[in-house]
Formats: sequence, structure tokens, C-alpha cells
Amino acid sequence: MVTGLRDREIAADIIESCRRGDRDAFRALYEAYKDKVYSIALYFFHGNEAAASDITQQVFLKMLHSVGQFRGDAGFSTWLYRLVVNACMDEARRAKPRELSANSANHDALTEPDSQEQNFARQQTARSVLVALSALPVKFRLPILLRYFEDLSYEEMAAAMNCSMGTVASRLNRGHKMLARKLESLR
Amino acid sequence: MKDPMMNEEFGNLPLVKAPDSIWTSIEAALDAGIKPKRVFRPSMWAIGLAAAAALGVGVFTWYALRAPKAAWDVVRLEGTPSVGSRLIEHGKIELGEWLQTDASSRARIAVGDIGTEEVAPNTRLRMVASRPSEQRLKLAHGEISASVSAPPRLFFVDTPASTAVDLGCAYTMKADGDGNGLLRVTLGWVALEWERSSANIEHSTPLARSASIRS
Repeated sequence: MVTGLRDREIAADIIESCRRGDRDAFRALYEAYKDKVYSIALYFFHGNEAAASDITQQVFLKMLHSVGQFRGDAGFSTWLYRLVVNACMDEARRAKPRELSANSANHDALTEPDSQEQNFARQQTARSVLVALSALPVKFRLPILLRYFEDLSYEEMAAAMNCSMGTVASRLNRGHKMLARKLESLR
Repeated sequence: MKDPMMNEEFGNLPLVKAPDSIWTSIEAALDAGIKPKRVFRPSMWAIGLAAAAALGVGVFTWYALRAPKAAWDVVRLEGTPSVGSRLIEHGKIELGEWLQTDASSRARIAVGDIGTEEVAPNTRLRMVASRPSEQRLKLAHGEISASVSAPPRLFFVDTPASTAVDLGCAYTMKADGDGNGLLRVTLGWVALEWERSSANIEHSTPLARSASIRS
């Protein structure tokens, strides 16, 4: 099993093997990205673990079935995060009526089990960020998650979100301001 | 470049480990041959095209269903009367249009189904309103002979100095560009209104009653 693969270390032969239906290669890609995909989905859906698991499963199944369409024009991670963005947006649209809303119980699920012992203040800050993030509109929440959890460039984010770099910059800028205001009010 | 303050804030958010159950579910789905859900996601082009098509249908529907423009029938009696820039034989005068006769022209207007107006030579008039509760024309100068069979206060003729309000009658109205006018009632009643005054002019046999107005 291959673990700990980083975005830019994904070798073309792993992707090629995955295209041919090699389940080990698929597992390798899964292991390399599962936590990031899951975390983005989890933070996007306000700590809803069921929704995040569902999204993660959908994304990887979709990846396996459409990896043949990956031409290598953009980075593999950019292509994968496009699947994540689409899955999150589709689910957000679909789930709107039943409102995957923020609540403290869900936010509790996001903090590390031993963090209370380690640093209470740090946990409190994390909780504030989560609450503020949850309150952001979807179109501002996603770029911020991609930026801070994935460290994607504007160009990669634009490709992942299927919009222009200008739109990415504008959404990030507005998202930051909204987030800062909300964090300020939570302190 | 990331915002350092935000970096600090987000640094406190842990990367959450994906539960093992996800891989189990994925393997089960693969073994069962389950394919990912297909979601219809229209491109921006498709959305734009659909919006343009909807707009086109809307405009076409509005054009097709819009209320017909109010118009009265006009018939040439003599000479070359014109509506706007059109010479009229049998035609229409629409809301806002002017009808003009020269020294040798006459015309007849059918005001909906409530009556007729004969337009004498050297007359200029305009169709001002045509709705169920009000039929109105403006006589700039010249002469018209009206014959109206309608409920009172439905047909109005504005002149530069006054307004003739039909109360069920036949009458002749003259006006010149200086504000002088002459109303001659040949049948029934007409209310003549000017400034803040009004008078009911009655036809009495054998001579017609008339009123002259000067602004």
C-alpha cells in the first residue's frame, strides 16, 4: 500500500494503472487524498460526518470512473478537487431543504480527541473559526477551504471551481473580510 | 499569498482523518458494480443559451398577446385627408396621431361604435384617448360635426379654450388656433367646460342653440 503521497508526487504510472482498473493504484490515490477530501467536505458541511463520508465516497468512485478523462493538462490534484467542488455544490443544492446547518454538536466532532488536554485555547479558536466558516455562503466557503487546506494556487482554484482567477481572487477577498468580521464578533 | 492572520486561524483546524468505513463502502460499491451518481450540470453556455431562449419566447409572447393598439376608422369623403404622413382612403387613426384636412378635403371618423365625426376642410385634430370609459380627441383648429349615441360623459372634444362633453347629442364644434370656438348643438345636450366653469347647452327647435367661447 502506498501512503503519504503528496500532490506533486503522484506518478503518471499510478494514474495509468488506475485507468486500467488496478485497485491497488486506486487505493494509493485514495490514501494520498482521502483525509484532505474528507476534511474539506467535513468543514464545508459544518462538521456533518455522514455528509462528508458520502461526499468522499462519491468523489473517489467518480474519480475511478472518470480517470480516463484526465488528460494531464492540469495537475491531478486540481482535477480531483474539481470533483470535490462539484460534489459539494451538488450536495449543497440537493440538501438545501433539509438544511445541513451548523450546530455545536457537529463542531465538536471536528476537534481532535486529545486537544482538550493539549490546549484549551487552541480548541476554542478552532471552534470559532468553524462557526465563522459555517456561516459563510457556499461560494465563499469553498475557495477558502481550498486555499487553506490544500494550498492551491489561484490558477488551480480557478480550474477546480471552473471560474476565472479574478473571480477566485474576488471571492477569497470577500470571504476573508466576512470571516474576519465574524471572527471578531465571536471573540 | 495567504493572509497570515487567516493562516494562523486555520492552523488551528486539524486535518481530519477519513474514517476507514469509507474505503469499505467504496470497495463494496466497486464489488457490486455501483457507478457514481450522474448529476446534470449545465455549462454556463447552456445556461446563457437557455436564458436567451426564454427571453426570446417571452418577447415573442408579449408581442403576440399585447393589446391591439387603439384606433378609429377613417374614411376619405373628399380631397386628400392625411393621418400622420399617410394619405387616407380607408384607414385608421391611432392613439396620438394627427388627422389633417386641407381646404378641399373632408373625412369621416368612426369613434369606436358610439358615433361618427365629420371632419371639415382645414381641420387638424388628434386622437387623444380611446378606452371603454373615455373617447377623446383634440381639435387644434377647424371644424367637426359629431353625432354620438352613447352614455353621457363618454365622448370628449378638447379645443384650445374648452372641452365639449357629450351628453347624448349631435353638434358642430369650431375652433381656431387663437382659442376662439363655436359650439352649435343640433340634437340633445352638450356640456361645455372651460377654465373652472361649465354650461349645459341644449338643442331647442327650431333653432339650434350655440355658444361661443373665447380664451
